[in-house]
Amino acid sequence: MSHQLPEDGQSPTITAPTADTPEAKPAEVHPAADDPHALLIVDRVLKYFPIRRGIFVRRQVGSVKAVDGVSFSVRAGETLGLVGESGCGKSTTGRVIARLLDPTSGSIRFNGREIAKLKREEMRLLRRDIQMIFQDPYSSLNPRHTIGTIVGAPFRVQEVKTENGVKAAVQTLMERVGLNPEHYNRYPNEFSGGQRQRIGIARAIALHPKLVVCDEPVSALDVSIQAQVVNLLEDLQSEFDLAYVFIAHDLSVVRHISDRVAVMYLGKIMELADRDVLYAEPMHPYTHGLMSAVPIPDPKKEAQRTRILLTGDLPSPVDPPSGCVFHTRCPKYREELTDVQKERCRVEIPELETKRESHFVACHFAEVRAEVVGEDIETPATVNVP
Amino acid sequence: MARFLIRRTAALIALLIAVSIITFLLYNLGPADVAANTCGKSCTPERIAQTKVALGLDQPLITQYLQYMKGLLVGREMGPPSGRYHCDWPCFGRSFQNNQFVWDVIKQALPYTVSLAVGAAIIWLTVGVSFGIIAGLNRGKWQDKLAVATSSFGVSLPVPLIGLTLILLVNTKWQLLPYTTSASTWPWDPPGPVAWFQNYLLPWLTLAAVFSAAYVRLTRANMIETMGEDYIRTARAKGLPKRTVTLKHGLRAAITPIVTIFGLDLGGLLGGAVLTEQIFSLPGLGKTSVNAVVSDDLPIIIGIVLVAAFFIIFANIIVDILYAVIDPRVRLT
Amino acid sequence: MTAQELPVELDFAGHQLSDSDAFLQVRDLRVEFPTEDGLVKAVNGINLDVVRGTTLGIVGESGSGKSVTSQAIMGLLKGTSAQVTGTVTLDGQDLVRASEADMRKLRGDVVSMIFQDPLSSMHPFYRIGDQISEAYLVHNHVGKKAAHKATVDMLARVGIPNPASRYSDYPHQFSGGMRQRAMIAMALICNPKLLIADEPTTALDVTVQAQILELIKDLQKEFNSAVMLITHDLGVVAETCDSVLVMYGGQCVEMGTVDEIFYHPEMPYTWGLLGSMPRMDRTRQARLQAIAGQPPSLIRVPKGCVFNPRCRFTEHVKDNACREVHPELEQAAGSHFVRCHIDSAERKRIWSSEIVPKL
Repeated sequence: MSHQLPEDGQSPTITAPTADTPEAKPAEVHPAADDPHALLIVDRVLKYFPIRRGIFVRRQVGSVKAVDGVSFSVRAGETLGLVGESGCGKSTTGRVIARLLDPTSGSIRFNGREIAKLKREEMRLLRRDIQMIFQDPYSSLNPRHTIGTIVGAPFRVQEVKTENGVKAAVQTLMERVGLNPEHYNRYPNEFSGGQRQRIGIARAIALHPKLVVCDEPVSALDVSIQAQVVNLLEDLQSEFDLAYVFIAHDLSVVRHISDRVAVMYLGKIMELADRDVLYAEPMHPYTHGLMSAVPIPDPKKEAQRTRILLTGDLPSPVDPPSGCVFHTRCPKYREELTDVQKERCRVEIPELETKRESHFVACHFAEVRAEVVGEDIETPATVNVP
Repeated sequence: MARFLIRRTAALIALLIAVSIITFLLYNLGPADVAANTCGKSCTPERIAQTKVALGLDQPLITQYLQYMKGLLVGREMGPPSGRYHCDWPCFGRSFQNNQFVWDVIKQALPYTVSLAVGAAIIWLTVGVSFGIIAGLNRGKWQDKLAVATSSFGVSLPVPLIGLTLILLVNTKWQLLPYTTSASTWPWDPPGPVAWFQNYLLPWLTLAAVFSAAYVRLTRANMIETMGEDYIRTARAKGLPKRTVTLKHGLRAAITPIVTIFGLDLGGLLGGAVLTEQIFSLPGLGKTSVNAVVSDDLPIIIGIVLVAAFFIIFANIIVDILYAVIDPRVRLT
Repeated sequence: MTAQELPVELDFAGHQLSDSDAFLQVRDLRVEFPTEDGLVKAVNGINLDVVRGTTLGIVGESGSGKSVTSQAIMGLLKGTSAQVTGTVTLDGQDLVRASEADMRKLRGDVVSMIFQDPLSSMHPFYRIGDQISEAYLVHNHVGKKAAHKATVDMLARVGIPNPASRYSDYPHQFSGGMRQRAMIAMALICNPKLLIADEPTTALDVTVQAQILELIKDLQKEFNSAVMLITHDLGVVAETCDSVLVMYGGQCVEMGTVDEIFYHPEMPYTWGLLGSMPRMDRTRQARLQAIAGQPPSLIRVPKGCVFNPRCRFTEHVKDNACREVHPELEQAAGSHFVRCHIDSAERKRIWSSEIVPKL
């Protein structure tokens, strides 16, 4: 099933029917998004940002293909990790899911209901259920609002009645995230980065949402504070049965917190699998390169590793490479493929296909490589010293 | 860069057209009865009606506007059927008071305003920026406090006070300089550059005192911010001498907001520095426009408005270009 | 003997250093900033050695004083309100007492620094090639053409394609990885003997980080430079460093070779760091071993051991010494020094029985 690339001014076509047309048979959904029990289904979502040039009349000359067809599903209470480097579109995807941005085309279904085209007022009610945590604890909190105002805002905006008043509810939340409830009237600049992030978390979970999009929530924090916040997120998840879309560039953190992981590159998903499967048996050359590049805090393992180095820089999302967007940097393309195979990579866009049981890969020549991550080899530290 | 220039020039033209439309509407829909004013005080109603036709005021507004624009660009024929005359471009009409061509009046007044504005601008720019640099580099120390205090002093005194005090002391009491006259226009015209300099010195100091304060503050703040930037740290880490770090790396980055404000200030001032011209009796655009307002001389008022608008918009474009020259990020994106 | 008592000519293992060995020696470096809220003790007694051809990693979180240490060594704090005491010896020359003019001769020439954010660390208005040539011209009496050539050669050496044409580009026209390479070129153009890298890859993607770290290692081998790498990422340390210094609250709490720190750490803060990192190479733990609490205030430095408010093991020390007595940096093995009151044998026991199984 294809979708139209929207011209400027045309409204995008949605491939999946809305919940308002129950007579229509549900059309086929991308296999990566096909999950009847899912809380969130994202089906072939695109987000293009137009580039306008011109002296007097600015015409669209191209677009930044920030998100170029992503499909996945998230179940209630589980965490989907969205991992990739800068410019891969993971943050944009997060914002589109949370409807802070409108998708250019594609379908987003939440609890069975199509939300991609919802109008503002309808979306407003949905914001009780879908929330977002942001990356920068220093700029994502209004410095002129007290903590009480910030965390209490969801109650006021959504006109939710509380038992003992908003203040009591806010203080309970503050305590739950590890802040001192007496600091109700303090301003953000009186708190450290880790504490500010907790404030952001408190605000996000205030109304017990079903889905929280976490956009790099720990990247700006110190390692020891990161661990505290990650633990907090996990505790909150089991307590409130939250689903997370956890966006990050740190593979180690994503491995710790996610149930399933999607690897993104230049707006597309390269690989999507259950966490343990992805980290033990990755199949996409980009995933191999990514895992190979992560430095491991173990000197002996580091010295023994075979490194797969990706050369060059990320291509521009304005003008992505033809065929497989990764072929310009792909070590497999460079070193292992025949000319005929290389031609295929240059010309044919690989679809995200099921290669193994719930393991999706977008590569013409995917194969498992287990040795990219240094496995549990015997080092002095793991041997018990009497 | 070329595309940038084309776009800015087009903006200039568009803005000027907009200003001309507004002024034209003011002229014709405003309270003053143009025909009666043109005709004179002792005019009968029939003569006024005739004048109306002669001036083309019975025509539809759009025709009048186009006639006006034609006059501005290439010149046009004006006047009653019996006494048609040619009004050269730029044609702003004739003064109600003495029937002089408005453009001639403006041409006469322009040298005074330009001499005043440009001279004062050079003084306030050099003084303001250098005091600001010194203050910024010595934050908290006596140089900083002194520089800020002196300039604040200047800005808190009203222009008439500064001007009149200077006249009292320098001209009258100590007799260091002759009184300002309207004899000196351009420095290359008689009575010569030295006389020109002496003539304008006091007005320059008066104006500069007021503007410097803003420049000292702005430069100081920008220098403090710029010197805290990471690339200054890198410059020091490379082992560059202090002067290079401060001026080549620091000042160039700090200067851009100052360029913007300078353009606006100078552009505005070229439309006439009303108070200063009045105090020093310099018949520049400011004094002329005050006289015109007082005597309801619409053609002169509108002429000066258009000229002033032109200067401001033109100054803005120059500032934009300078911005692009200083900051490569502007011209390459 | 304790670190403060060591004479300058010995390294930490007690070996006699010849002139060609320890290139940078720092003894009892202290940096204090007077502020409105009080005296900030940013660096509170640091000792370190860096030998040519080796890499010293300084690990710490924000507020540990690691960046201030490097800036003090470079003399970048002269002229600010900072008060710097102690000895910093670079190739025999005392830097703390050196004049600003002397320091300027050394900076960029004998000791160079690269910074975390290459976009903000380069002047946005000048071409990259010109900025690099500038560094060359200031320390070498040559003409502009010679400097231009040296710059183009260096850009090629750090792996920037089309160096001749990229000479005329501005920083914002480079990608993040290329900018950091250009920054490295700028630092190494005068062939310095000591390179200080302050979080050089923190702002970069992980695949680019791998390239940059490879580059630094290659260049170190080629120029036989001493490298001081400041970072918060223990993975980077494991990959690149020969010896490690762990900083906390402005002090060194543990130092040693990279093997000693990763396989036999003996300081609870180091344990905490190792335990709070999620690892890709180990069995996944249900919960990260976070260190409770916040980094300490540098104005009201905790009495006793600077880590004691967050330490889980203070009960292993008698008489409440952790809260009262400031521990000295003591030798645990050859080059391994630890600042902790807990008895060494006890620390080894805790490490292997309590910490390792949970990693």
